[in-house]
Amino acid sequence: MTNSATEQFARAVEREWRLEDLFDGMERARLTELLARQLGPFRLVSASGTVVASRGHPRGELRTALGSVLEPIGVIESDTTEHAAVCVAEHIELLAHAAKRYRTAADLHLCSITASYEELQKKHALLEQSEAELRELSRELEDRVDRQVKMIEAAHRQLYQSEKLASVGQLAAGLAHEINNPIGFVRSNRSMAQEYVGELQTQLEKTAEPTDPDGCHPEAPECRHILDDFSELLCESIQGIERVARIVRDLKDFSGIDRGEFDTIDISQLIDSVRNVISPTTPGHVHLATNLRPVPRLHCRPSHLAQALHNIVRNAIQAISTETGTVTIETRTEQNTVRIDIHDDGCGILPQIRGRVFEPFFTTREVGTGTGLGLTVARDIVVAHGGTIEISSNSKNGSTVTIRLPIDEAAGRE
Amino acid sequence: MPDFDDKANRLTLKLVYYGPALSGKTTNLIRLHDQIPPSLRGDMMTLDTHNDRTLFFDLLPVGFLTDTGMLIKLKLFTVPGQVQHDSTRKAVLSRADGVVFVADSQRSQQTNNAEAFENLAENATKVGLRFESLPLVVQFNKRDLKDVVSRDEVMQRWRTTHWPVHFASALSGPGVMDTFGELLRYVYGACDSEFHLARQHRLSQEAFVGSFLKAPGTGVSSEGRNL
Repeated sequence: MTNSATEQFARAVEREWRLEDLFDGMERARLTELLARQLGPFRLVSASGTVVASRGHPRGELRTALGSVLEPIGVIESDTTEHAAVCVAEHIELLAHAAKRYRTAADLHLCSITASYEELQKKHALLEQSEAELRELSRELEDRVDRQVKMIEAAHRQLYQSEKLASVGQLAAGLAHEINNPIGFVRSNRSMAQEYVGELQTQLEKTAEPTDPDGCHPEAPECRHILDDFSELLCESIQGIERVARIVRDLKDFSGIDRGEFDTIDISQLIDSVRNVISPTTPGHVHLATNLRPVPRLHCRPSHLAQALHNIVRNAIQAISTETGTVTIETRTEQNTVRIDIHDDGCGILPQIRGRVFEPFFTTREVGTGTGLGLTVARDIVVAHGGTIEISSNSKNGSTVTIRLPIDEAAGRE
Repeated sequence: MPDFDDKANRLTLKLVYYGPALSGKTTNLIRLHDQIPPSLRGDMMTLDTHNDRTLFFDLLPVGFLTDTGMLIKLKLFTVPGQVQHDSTRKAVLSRADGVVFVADSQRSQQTNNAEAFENLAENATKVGLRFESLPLVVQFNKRDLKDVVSRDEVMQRWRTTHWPVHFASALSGPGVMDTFGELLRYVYGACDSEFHLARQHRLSQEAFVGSFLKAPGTGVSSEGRNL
């Protein structure tokens, strides 16, 4: 209840009723009729001096008080007997008391109803407020659940991916170790062989002198030819061995046995190693090209980024289905980011599925050939590095995936 | 807040009987009506329901004329005790000059007493009365019943407060006038400092309190109607 309502209520409780307020028009008319019959000419004057009822002109010889000093009601002026006047006075007092009782109750009833109504409205407002708060809370909770679900999904993907990476990494590490050993002795044997061939050539020239009067053994040209060829073969072998060694190194880099570790690296080198890993499995009709401009070094998780790039490049290659095509990887500095574009001139992505390519487990490939996680994981990794990833595509020019990674000032200066 | 009407030479005071439902507030007023000489009181107005539960309030006006001709008018109110009538309780309590808290002595009613007393303190503050300095007398009513809290126990409990405690059986009468007299003593103190009753109106505390306890010389009722 408001203060003004309480005040009004309190005033109704304390109200001093005046005689003129107690009777309405009809009641007054009846009262006048009754009093005239009893008293003859009369005047009924309230305590405040208002004439409440009158008939004729009493001489005013008899003035009879109504009420008491404590609660004066008024005066009756009449010309009748004292007894009759007192009798009428007592009747009017009774009437006035009843009327006062009724009017007080009516007033208070109204106040009480107003108070209850106000109370109800206040409660209603409070309820509405708490309802709104609950709604807000439920929205917040829903949002929180959504966020947590997304977090769990991302964690799942990462777990899946890291398990995959871990097994690939172990395999690569084992492979590298196994291959590096034989390569080591093949390499040393080959260089020994090269020396032996050189020695053989010298020996051959020496031994040829005494036996051949022309300065030449009859079979010497044939032998020399073989030895020259032999030397060339050995030279070629070293290229082969170097290539195997490089593949092993790239494989190791790519799988990242030391995965998850932060490092400051040159992104171009990382792209090279990704390219080298992918090249052997790239179909003949796809040409892999790079256009790598010098960019600042990045502080990142190299193996993760390699994984992301690998996923995107592999996707690009798969977009080029039959005809000859090119996948180009470009890097450049753009404002405070390193921008990497992976472009293919393949089939493009249908507009209706373009929005879904980063969705987990969304794949256009046949069941069992793709997990639908490649681009999702790529996006997770880029986002984890504070970067952005976008895809643009049309059926004519193929698709371009653009990655922007923030340049860490500190890393750049290293 | 005492209401002094200079023109009418009248001081009106509002005294309120507060307390839990069915503790005997209306009975207190009826007993006062019976015990105060008719010349000192007006008609009692009750606003109750058919089963005698007070709906809004009861009102008994009492008063007397001082030697200097000033009318002292006391309006004695009861509040409705039922919990749901809180807005009416607040309205009646508003501007009260003194309060009698009528408690029910029965053991089973102790919680109701406590709640009603808390409600009194709360509402007094809400309507702008300073509860700590408000003239307040506590009456433990219904002493005639069985299974009531003993006097010692009551006194023990109320000893730490500054409010006087009285015991009464309003139904038969004992204690009702004592409680009323105690409140008058209390109220006189507050009024005297504001209106200089003793100095300007030659009204002592004894006269103020005693005027209702024994039939005085000057009545205010409707005797001698002819003017």
